Amino acid sequence: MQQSVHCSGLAGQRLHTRRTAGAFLPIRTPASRSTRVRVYANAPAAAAATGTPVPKNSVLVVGATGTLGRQIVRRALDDGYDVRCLVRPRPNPADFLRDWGAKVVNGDLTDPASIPACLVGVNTVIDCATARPEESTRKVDWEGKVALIQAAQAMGIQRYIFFSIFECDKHPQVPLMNIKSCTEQFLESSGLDYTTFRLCGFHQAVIGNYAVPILEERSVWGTNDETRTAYLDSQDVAKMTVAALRSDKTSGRTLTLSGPKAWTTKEVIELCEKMADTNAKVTTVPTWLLKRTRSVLRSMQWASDAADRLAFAEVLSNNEVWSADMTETYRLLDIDPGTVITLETYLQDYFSRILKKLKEVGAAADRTNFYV
Amino acid sequence: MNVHLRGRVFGERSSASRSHGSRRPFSGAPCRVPPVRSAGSDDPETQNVEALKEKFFRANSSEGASSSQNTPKDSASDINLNAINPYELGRQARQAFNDVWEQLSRVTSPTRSFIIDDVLQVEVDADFQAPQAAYTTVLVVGATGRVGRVLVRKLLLRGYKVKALFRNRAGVSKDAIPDSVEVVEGDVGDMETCQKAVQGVSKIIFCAGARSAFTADLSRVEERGVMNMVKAMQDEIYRRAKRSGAKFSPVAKRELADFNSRFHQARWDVTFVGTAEEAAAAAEGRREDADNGYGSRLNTAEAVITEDNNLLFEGNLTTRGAIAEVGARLPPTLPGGEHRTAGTEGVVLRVRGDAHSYLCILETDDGYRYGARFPTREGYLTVRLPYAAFRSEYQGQPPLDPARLVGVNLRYENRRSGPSAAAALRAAKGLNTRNMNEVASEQARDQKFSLEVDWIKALPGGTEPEFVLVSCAGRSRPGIDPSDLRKTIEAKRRGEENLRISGLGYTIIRPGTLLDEPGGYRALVFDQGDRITESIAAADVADICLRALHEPEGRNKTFDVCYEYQADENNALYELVAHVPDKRNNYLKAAVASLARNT
Repeated sequence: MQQSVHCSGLAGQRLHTRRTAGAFLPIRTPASRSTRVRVYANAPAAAAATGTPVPKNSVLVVGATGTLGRQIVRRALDDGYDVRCLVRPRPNPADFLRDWGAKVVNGDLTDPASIPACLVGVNTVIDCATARPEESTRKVDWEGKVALIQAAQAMGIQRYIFFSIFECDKHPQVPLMNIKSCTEQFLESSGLDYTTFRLCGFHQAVIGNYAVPILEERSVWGTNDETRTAYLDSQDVAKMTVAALRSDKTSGRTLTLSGPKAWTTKEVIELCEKMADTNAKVTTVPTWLLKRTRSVLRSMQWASDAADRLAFAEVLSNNEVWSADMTETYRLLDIDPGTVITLETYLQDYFSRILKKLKEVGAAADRTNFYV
Repeated sequence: MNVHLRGRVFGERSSASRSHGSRRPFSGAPCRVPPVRSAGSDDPETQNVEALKEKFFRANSSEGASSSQNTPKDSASDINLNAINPYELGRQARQAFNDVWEQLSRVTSPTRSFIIDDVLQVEVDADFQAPQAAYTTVLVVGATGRVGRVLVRKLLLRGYKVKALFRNRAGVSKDAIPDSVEVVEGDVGDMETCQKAVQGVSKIIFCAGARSAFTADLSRVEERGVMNMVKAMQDEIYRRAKRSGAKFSPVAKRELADFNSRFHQARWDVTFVGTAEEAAAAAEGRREDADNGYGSRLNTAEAVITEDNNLLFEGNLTTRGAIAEVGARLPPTLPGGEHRTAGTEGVVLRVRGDAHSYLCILETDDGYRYGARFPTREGYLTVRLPYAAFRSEYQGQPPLDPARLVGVNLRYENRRSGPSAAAALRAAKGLNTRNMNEVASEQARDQKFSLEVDWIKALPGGTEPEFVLVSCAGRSRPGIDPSDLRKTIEAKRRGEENLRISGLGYTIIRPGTLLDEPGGYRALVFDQGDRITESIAAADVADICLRALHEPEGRNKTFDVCYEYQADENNALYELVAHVPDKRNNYLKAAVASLARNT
């Protein structure tokens, strides 16, 4: 399909230019006037060439205001790291990061010139940013990430953590998965000391998609496929990420993080119903409808982004199981599998707190702010 | 039709609430389809198409539904008018489409979640919850240091209110401390700054250290700094207690003897001078010799009040084994009405001695006496005697119950044995026998004693420590001079002493060499006694300080902590108990519960 070819072509082009310039050799520009500028594509060599030692504790988190990003910031702060957060300049900035004691720097992934300044004095980059629904996936997730990786190379970042999607290389027809897969390959070839985590799904998504509509007594839209997703709590992902920073065991690896049990949409809705003690009004959207809508929208230029989002429907119809064996991962990260939160525990806690808060507030009709 | 994806618009918040809010003018949510179960019996295709049709052409079909929900008749006409208003129709259609689109996109990306900023945060993770944090203000002294930085962040993450004492030197940037921390500028050696810093604070964590090894710096930060903080904290707690209407401050020391007041000056007197046999005789009520007792020329002791309002207890005991005691019986309640010694944990004395060791003896109302020996030095000294240090005089006495104290005595014993026995002792030790002059002068020194007492107070008990002090274990790190190290350690120990005699509940943590590593990774060893050798991450020390704030097991304890290590074969006299700093469990409680209190 048109888009995927475009993506991989882009990756191919970038890689190609790098190879011709000597990807892992120093690139010497001609000594024109005064000084020679030595640009190393090899990160450790670059670090050795410069003089300022970077403290090993400093971490830059890109996408720190997101679901996963804020948990990583909290975890890293608690473990003693110096955390810096890359956020976009906003009229109402997110103050909670500053309130926790992290430093906030302004930058934008779509503006590559703003990135290198944020990387000064940083030892580790954790990249958990992704495009918002109203933004272009290509600009943020591909071009922005490429710019970030190249800046990290130039600045000699010692460790790079990237978050991708489960089995993204197997679904090139979904644009976001295609982009993630290309980014993974680009990161591998960049020479940075990287670790890629492939995620299946977050508990917090279950809250937004199922638990809240059930509480609000709105209808819940589910699909009738049998795809099983192993949801994982974002706090556990944050714990695993910070654990990966401690040792070198995970460098150069691509690890899949999946939850303890894989659930289908129907099971999740039933679980939410049981916990909220209500019956959900479930509307099932058949997969063929999504495919049809997508093909309709794709034929229109202005709806191409919308069509991209519906491309996921193709994946859903395959009825896969999105779960992976985690024993090796737990061993590498030195984490006890018993400490991982299960979906039932999470939802149980959520519902009990929400219902308790509702009783306190005495709310009956207007229950609108339940998102986590 | 304009396809505008529902979601975050740049610069705007909470579009979800906005969308929900704007749906209120309609009588019902546009998504309120009749309950549809995803059962296999119905034909899903026609049902869903029906549902979609209903949405898109809601204007026509919803009149029935909406008017059925709006009972008043007159509003029905409004809805009819609204139904034919083209703007209204357009808005409804757009709303419906947006809602359908939102649901579709949510369905197709089931693993993607959207964050709205003004959220109801629900914390499932127990790691970052501290229920006491809501009403505790913590003052962090040394918030720019290695431990202080991490500690401030950890406190903020758990919701404490944090105040920091900040010196604002050149070279320390202003953004070293996060904005949500209240900063008091000044030096810890300055009493006024300390008083300002302590206002509104309920706990203090002192992790400051002198930046150099100059004696002036060391004494200013480690000794005077701790002393100032302690005094300021006592004042603050007193003020707070007064404001809340209590009659006395819960951390104030209770008065047992204060020789500034005539009350105590009149009561204290020499109670006994003589030998042990005479004491036994007097106890049994026998009077063998009328000349014996106080009039004996062999042993004399007297107690006078000096001009400085101190009690001077001096005398001369020539007989071997003679004792002299001065003391008083106390009424059990203080003038304010509260019990004098109930709930206290120990006794503090301010004395000026003469390098002899004295005994402090407490009497309870059932006649039992308990004694604790303390050494003195030339010059003023504050002595702290926890009740656990008091030994009972006879076997089989019940343990000391502070609520039943009725008397305090100070005793001097001439324990020096006779000249021949002394010579034998020295010969056994392999030392040369000395001539008679030396022996005589020694004996004379032991016979004369002189003790000035300024005050005697009782230390209050409590549940949680108010002051957490980060001291040092005494291990050197690379790049430090051994003499500097010794000076630093001594200054820190003096600071610790200042804290212990203050009456505040304390926890003193002595970490090994601090490392700039992330914490929470390796197991920690908690120990008492000067045995640890390993280093520890500053972040782990910060975690321990944090937990010690609300740990009653850690109150009034001093302990060393470092990374776990294997003891070598020779020193394996004790078992190293290591605790993994798991954030969920309260490892500190288990670790510290087995350590000795009031150390």
